[in-house]
This record gives sequence, structure tokens and C-alpha cells, in this order.
Amino acid sequence: MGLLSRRSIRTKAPLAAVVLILLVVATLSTAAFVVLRRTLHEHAAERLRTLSEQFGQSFMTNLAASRARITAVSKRPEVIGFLDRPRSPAAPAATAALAPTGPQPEQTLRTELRDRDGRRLLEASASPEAERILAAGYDSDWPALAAAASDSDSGTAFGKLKQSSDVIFFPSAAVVPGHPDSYVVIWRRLESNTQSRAQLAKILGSEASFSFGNVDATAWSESGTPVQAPPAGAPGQVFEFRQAGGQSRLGIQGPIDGTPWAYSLSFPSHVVEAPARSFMWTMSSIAAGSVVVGGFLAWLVSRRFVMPVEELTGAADAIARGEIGSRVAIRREDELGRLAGAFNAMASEVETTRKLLEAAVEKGTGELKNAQESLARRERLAIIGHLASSVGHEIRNPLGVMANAVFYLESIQPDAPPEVRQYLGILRRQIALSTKIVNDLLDLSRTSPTHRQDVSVGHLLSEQLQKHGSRVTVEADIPHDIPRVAVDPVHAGQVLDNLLSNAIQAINGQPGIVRIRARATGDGYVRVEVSDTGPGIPLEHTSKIFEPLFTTKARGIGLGLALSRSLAQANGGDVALVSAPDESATFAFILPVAGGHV
Amino acid sequence: MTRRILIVDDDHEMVRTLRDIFHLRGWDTGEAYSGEEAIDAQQTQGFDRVIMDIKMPGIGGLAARQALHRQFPQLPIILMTAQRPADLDAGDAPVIAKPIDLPALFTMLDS
Repeated sequence: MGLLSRRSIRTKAPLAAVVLILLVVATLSTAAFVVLRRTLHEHAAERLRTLSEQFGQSFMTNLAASRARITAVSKRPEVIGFLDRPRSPAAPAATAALAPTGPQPEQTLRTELRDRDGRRLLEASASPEAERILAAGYDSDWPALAAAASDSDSGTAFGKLKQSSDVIFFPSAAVVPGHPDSYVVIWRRLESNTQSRAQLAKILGSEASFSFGNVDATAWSESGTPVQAPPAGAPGQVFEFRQAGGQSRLGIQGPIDGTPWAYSLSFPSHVVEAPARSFMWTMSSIAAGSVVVGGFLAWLVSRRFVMPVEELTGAADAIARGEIGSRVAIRREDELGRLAGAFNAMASEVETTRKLLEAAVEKGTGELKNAQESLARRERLAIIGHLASSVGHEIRNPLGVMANAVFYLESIQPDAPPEVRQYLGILRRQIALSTKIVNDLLDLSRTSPTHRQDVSVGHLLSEQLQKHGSRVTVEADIPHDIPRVAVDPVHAGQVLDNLLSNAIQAINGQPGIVRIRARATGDGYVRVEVSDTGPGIPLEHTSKIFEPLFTTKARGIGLGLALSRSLAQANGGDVALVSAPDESATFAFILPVAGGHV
Repeated sequence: MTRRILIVDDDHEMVRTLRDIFHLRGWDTGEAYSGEEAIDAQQTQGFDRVIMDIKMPGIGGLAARQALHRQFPQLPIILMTAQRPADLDAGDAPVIAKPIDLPALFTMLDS
């Protein structure tokens, strides 16, 4: 079963069809064979009965002729005359009268004249061969024969068949008229009669056999040749028996009236059954043909069913291997066609779901990456801040001393030469610049928590614009109904300060405009865009500008944008570059709207 | 009457430059180089004002300011720091960042 279950339907269906065809053909053939055989047997039996009647009649005719011949001998005057005067000189004439007559005289072994006790009074035609055949002991049945002849109406009787080596012979007896104790006895041998055999073969077929012998089966003959007696059957009934050689035969038997003999007529069963066998052969050929044709048709049909299923299996395997776009062609509208349609629909669904899932994973991964980068940036900023705080603190002290010294010198030398005053001015400005750098650095050491408050965007911006003065033209587009935001005003101020400083530096003293535009995004944020008319940011820098310590400026330590983004994110917002590479730069500062919208 | 200010910083050059500037502005000055010295000087000499650095060895500026404030509640004390003033918890005392904006400092002292 396990082996069968692994086999393809393509194999199993034709196999089942072949088995079915074989079963049907075998059953029908067997049934037909049985019926046919019975019919053939019935026909054969009928024929046997008819034949046995014909043979019986012909036999009786022959017997009657034999009776007539022996009666004629017994009535010869020479014979009667001899009996009337025994020991008369009429004996030689009587012996001559006993000489065989009729057809096949050579079959007559000996003709005798006997008394009731079996004593031979006269005998004739005893050839040496006949004497050899009629050896001692052949005559044991005499009293029964004599009695039968005396009791019969015709005064004649036939004795049992005798066998001496390969010769079958028998006696017939007739009572001599007027001498009830005297009998004429003729011993005849049975000769093989080719003519009658040919006749028999013509009627029955060459395989047929007709035999007869003693009812007690002591001797039996077929066409004059000794044979073994066939098994006894009910008289006149057709029956099947097995011959000594193993051959099965169909036969009929019966006693021959007025004799101690019985006949047997038979022919081989295989002759009778030949049409049935021929039928079986034909049926076998038909079965073989049906098996081939049926098997082929079943294969064709199963292939038609199995192929779409195999195609489906292939597509399913392909999808399992990851070829998610695999589909099956729909070439039919039956159940298999609908199955293919359903499969394609399912595969599409799987593909869509997988794409959604991949997109979700990608998005999640991206967000995670951003979060990681943000965290890394903040850690880096914290380390830089910590370092800056320590260094800044140490530098501010000497800067303070230097500033004091310059202040003192300027105070005590109001009338100093211009060069001295100029150089003191240079010192003062450089000290101020150094102080600013240190202050910027110290902003990174911000450890104070974020104090978010409800503040006005316009107010935050105007504070920073005042600080930067009127060095450049600034166009501010801030709607009066812009929502208030929830940020630490100091932090937001630092971010705006940084963005404005960058924008102003980008213009770099050339004629240009800084544009500020604020809008509510509609989803809980205010977006403040700061644009300049400078050369913009090259593509290769766009991914680095928010990294700490990245700068393109001759002066600067590259902390402004990193710090701005860190501060903006700490306040629930963000800072991003929104212009394309090499176009005048626009930075967007996203701030969360006040009132718990986010 | 000449005003007297105690200048406290562990950086001697800082103390010296401030001393000279205050002298130019007509102040009398006292000098101390630690919190302990500052308390000692105030107790013995009684200045009108104190300007004191926060980060110093010993008790430091914030602790010294608290001690002085307890003993001399009316004494104005200005703290100096090289850190960001916003990051310090100096109570109600004014804190100025280094380098010191001197004109602003004198304005504060005059008020």
C-alpha cells in the first residue's frame, strides 16, 4: 500500500483500468465459458445418444445376420442327417457342410457340432493358427452358452468375448432343429476393419472410439483390437470419465440385447470443448486488446487530470523556494481550472502580504536604524560635550585673565599710539572669538533637563532675528494664527540661532536673502523652514552634515547642526535638510504643537 | 568714602588683574585665594562687597558664599564661574561668566 500510495496517479489510474477490464473480461468469459461448455456437453450427449441408437441398430442388424447364418448351418440336411444316424458314413458330408460361409470366412476359426455336455461330435476348418488360438480353457462358459441358445426363441446365442494374446474371438451357438441336445457352434475372431473404422471416423471424428466387450469387462475390443474396458456407467446415460492415459472423455454405454456384451461410444472432452477453448482464446485476445486500449485511454485521461495538478504542485514548490511570482496557466473552466484560479488568487494574496510584510520590516528596520543613529549621535555628543565642558572651563579662566589684562591696558593707555590701540583691539576681538567658540562648546555640556513650555513661534523667531541684527535681508512668513508649540525656549532658540547663523554664513556677504517660513503641518507639528540663497550643500555632504565634528567652514568645529538636531529631537521635533543637493539650502525645523496633540 | 571689595580666586593672575582694574576705578581691594581665606578676611577686615570664584580648592565658592551669607546677610556677594552660569545652583546670588564683561560688572556694582 505504501508503495502504491507513492506511485503517481498517472500510473495508478491506467493500472486500475487494466485490472478492472481484466476482472470484467475474466468474469464474463468464465461465465460464458461455463455456459458454452455445458451447452457443448449437452449437444455432445445428444449426439452420443443418437449415435448409440444408430450403432445399436446396426449392431442388431449384424447380429441378426450372424444368427441367420448359424441357423442356416444348423438346418443343413447333412448335419441333421448325421445326427439322425450317428456313426453313419454321413460324417464327412456333415463336416463339409459345417465349412464357413458368408462374408469374411477367414474370420471363422472353427465350426463345431456339439452335444449338451460340450463334446465335439464334428468340427471343421480348424487351421493350425485357429488351434493355437483355441487353446485349453477357452471353453469354460459352454454350459451358459448352451442354456442361452436352448432358452432363446431363435435357438441361437452368443458367448462372451475371449482373448488370446492379441486376438479377440467369441462363440455363437444354434440348437439343431429336431435335436434339442445338439448345437452348431461357430468360433469367430474379430478383425480390424479399416472400412468400418473410416466410416466411424467420418461420423464421430477421428478422435472418437467405439468399443464393445463383455458386460463383466473380462474382454473388450475396439475394432477387433483388445483394449481395456472403459469404466462402467449407467446404461444409456452420457457420462465423463478419465481414460487410463489421463485423457478425459465423454461417453455412453449400454448392454447389447440378446448377448452378454455391452458397447461403449466416446470421444475426448477436448474435442467437445474445442469451440469453448477457441472462444476463450478469442476472449483472451479481446481482453489483451481491451487492456492495451483501455490502459492507454486511462493513461490519456489521467494525464489530462494529473498534468494540471503537477503544474500546481510545481508552482507551489516554486513559491515555497521563494519564487513568489509563480503562477499557473488557466486553460480550462472545470473544477481543475477553478482550482488553478483559486491557487493564483492565493499566490497573489501571499505575494501581496509578503511585500507588505517586507515593507513593514524595512520600515521597522529603518526606524530602528534611525533610532540607533540618533542614540549614537547623542552619545557621541555627550562625550564631546563632557570633554568640551572640561576643556572649556579650563580655557575660560586664562581667557578671563587675558580679557582683564587687555581691559586694564586699554584703560591705562587712552593716549597710546594708534598701533598699540589697534593691536589691543585685535587681542580683544580674538579673545571674544575664542570665548564664543568655548561658549558653543559648553552648550554641548548641557546637562539640564528639557523644560518644555507653551511658547509662540513668532516670539522665538523675533528674539533670534534681533540677535542677528540687520546684516542680511530676512523675509519672514509667519501666519499670525500659527499654533503655539511645546518646546524648551532656550533649546528652540539655540536651534533657530544655529540655522540662521548658517544661512547668513552661506550667503557670505554676497547680496542675498534669508527666508523664514512657518506652517502648521496639520498633524500636530509646526514646520519652520529657513532658506538661503547660497550655493547649497553638495551631494557628498548631505549625509554627513548632521554628524558631530563635520564642517566645511574654515572656522568652526562642526557641532552646530549635530547639536541642533539633538536639541530638536530632545524636544519631540527634528531638524532636516529638505532642499536638493547643490540647490540653495533649506532646513526644516519641526516643533510639536502645544496642547497634547502629539 | 572709598568702597572696599574682597577679590577671591585661586588664580593669582586673575586676582591681580582684577585688583588693578578695581584700583583704576577707585576701589580699595582685599585678596583671598580660597574660600577659607575669604571667610577669614571678611571676618577680620569687613569688606563692602565680595567677588568670588566658584571652583576653588577647599570649601569652594558656593560653600564659602553660604557661610558668609549666614554671618553677613547684608553683604553683596558676586560669584564668578568658568562654567555656564545656567548650569549652577547658586541660589539668589548673582553669577557672572568668565571672561567677565567688566563694564557690565561695574554697572552691577554701582546699582
